[in-house]
Amino acid sequence: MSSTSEGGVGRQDWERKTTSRTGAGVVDDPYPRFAELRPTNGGVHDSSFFAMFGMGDPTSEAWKGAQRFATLSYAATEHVLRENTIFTNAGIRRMTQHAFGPVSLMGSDDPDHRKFRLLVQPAFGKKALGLWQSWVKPRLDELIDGFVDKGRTDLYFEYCSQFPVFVIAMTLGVARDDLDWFQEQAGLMQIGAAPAEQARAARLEVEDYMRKVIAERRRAPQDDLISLLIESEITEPDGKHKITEEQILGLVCNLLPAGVGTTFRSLGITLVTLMQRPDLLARLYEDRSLVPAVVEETLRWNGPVLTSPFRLAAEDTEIMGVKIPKGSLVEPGIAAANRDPLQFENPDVFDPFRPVKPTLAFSYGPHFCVGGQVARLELRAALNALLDRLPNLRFDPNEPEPRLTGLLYRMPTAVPAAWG
Amino acid sequence: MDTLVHPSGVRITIDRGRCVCSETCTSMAPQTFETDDEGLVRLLDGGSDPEAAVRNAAACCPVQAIRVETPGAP
Ligand code: HEM
Ligand code: SF4
Repeated sequence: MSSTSEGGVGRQDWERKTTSRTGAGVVDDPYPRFAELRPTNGGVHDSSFFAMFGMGDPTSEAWKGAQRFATLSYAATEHVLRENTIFTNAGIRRMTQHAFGPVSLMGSDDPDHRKFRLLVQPAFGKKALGLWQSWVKPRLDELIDGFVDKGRTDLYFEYCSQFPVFVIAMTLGVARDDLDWFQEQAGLMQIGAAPAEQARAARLEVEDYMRKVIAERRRAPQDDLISLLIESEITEPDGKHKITEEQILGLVCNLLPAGVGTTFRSLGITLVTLMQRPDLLARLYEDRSLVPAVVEETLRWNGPVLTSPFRLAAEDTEIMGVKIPKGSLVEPGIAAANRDPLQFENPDVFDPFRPVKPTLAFSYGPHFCVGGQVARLELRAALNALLDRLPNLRFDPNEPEPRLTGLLYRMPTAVPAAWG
Repeated sequence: MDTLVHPSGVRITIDRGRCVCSETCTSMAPQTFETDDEGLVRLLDGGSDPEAAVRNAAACCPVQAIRVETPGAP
């Protein structure tokens, strides 16, 4: 990859600089604090997550002065996410408009949101998953080819961060020569990562580029995701509705911040977690059928995102008996909920053999992560590809042992690995 | 079809209009549910998934798109 640009997803210094704003290096383990506060008021806490840790909130610029709440129990979090007409996404709309554009999935509410989801879900359906998958394995092998002979590298920056953005770019029809440019724009569009004006400029560039791709596909359709999206339509009582160009662009600009950092950080967390447990890792080399369970348990135990984006209370309401005034912002704390002892036995233990049970890692309710199946297939494939080609994976003894860190986004400090 | 009578006799109804393609039901009762090219849930023949697994899948659906009813119950 070129190193001439200052931005870019996963470039080492850039990643450190932007994620420190959201708690990386400041908060390493937020979970004891959640455990301490969860039993009070049904797990409904009366401050933002950042305030809980004495930090300023980089996501609340657009909503200065709003009363804040954060949920820490499974029941409270599920309630907020289910009751989406009371706890609306209007708050996210204002916060993310500059980066996601006027029409986005995250920033819309029913009934518009539901129509939008029906139009884009085919891009994540059974046939489309094959299109996504076709870019994954070749990329993983190409990356491993680049470092396999060295015997050691930092897998976080040389592997994890280098493939989700590539897969999205190729799936959307971005030319290979424009990959570095695209990576850089994607980095600038992540929530809380860059000043609003910079994020807006990045979005406008991506929109211009994608308009040209869309026009090309309209002229000459291909067997790819953009061609599939252009054709998408739903039937309403008043007739058929085709997806609009604005909606396609809105989806594209939402995919970058939602699908890039989440997936690569989760892979990094998985690798560190496994290398800290050599017995489990050895077992995984022998029995690959455990890979999906390891991926799911990592998402539960230390997911890459702390909270679904905050919801705006559209009326006076209650959660678990706690009064929530109209106009309050409520953060649905999915990571804290996934450690609720009322839902998961011994919740602080990483145990891929625990009974299968859904988690809130990909959220819950109408905004459930639309890319969840893409993320799962990427995480499984990326783990399998390493196990296939790097025997005896372990921490590099010449580097400091990494730790997990971060508040809004969770991640490892690095993944210094040796093999062979 | 959006309705199916499971071998145990319970009636399963899905609402494709709500489905968010979480794959929760398909992982809990894979012989009863699948998702399709539209990214929406579809019913299979129910196979040998136990009734409890089907009920559990319905309870865990993130958008309450699955209903399970016992015949004769009000
Ligand atoms: C491990 C990886 C991932 C995690 C943990 C994750 C988690 C989440 C969460 C928590 C939400 C917020 C839902 C809400 O507002 O309640 C979300 C939404 C979303 N995610 Fe993901 N995500 C991941 C990967 C991806 C990928 C790979 C893509 C795309 C290819 C993607 C696309 C989206 C989109 C478009 C939304 C907005 C959905 C809506 O508002 O209807 N995500 N994700
Ligand atoms: S659990 Fe619900 S949302 Fe998920 S695939 Fe099944 S029907 Fe759809």
